[in-house]
Amino acid sequence: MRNRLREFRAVRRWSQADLADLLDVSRQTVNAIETGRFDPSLPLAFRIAVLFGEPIEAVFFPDHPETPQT
Amino acid sequence: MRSESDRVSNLEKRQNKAALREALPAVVALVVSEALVAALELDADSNRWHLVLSLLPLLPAAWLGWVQLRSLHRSDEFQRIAQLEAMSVGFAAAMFVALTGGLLDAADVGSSVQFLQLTFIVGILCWVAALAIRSRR
Repeated sequence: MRNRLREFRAVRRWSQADLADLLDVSRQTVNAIETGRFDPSLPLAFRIAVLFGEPIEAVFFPDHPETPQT
Repeated sequence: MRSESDRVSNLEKRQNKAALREALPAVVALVVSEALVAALELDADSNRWHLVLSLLPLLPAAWLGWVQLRSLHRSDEFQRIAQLEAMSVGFAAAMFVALTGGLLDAADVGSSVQFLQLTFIVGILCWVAALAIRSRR
């Protein structure tokens, strides 16, 4: 799964630690999500989307968008 | 000097404080109990309390296990997965060394006590190394 976390964070001039504080997670967790090393749980993904005021599909999207929907 | 990009989050600050507050007394208790057992120079003929005293370090060791469990509960979802993966690596390494030690001991090579100590050390080192690699920034 890919995401636009870094992009949204940069617009708001937040550091990874700032975002981590707002989400009450560790900075390494924010870094791992941004670099694609870790896919967050659905509850955390929703918290991130709400924090940025975006729908979840605008923040997170699949690696292969052509994947057929079931 | 620590830059903004190196700053830890508030969650990590709380975790570090709690870990220090809980782990430090347990580590001190473990060191003291190990020193006590070593100082008493217990052997099979010491007295009937030999077994009880020689197992004394198990109490702070169990305490450290409880500290680790508490630390896991305080972790966020990525930290928890990283910790559990690192523990499984440490466990696998310890099992491998234990098996190797058992085979060598059966062939009358080395001492079983040394293999036991080696199992513990290798297990912990592999756990720490795996955690460092998994949670690198």
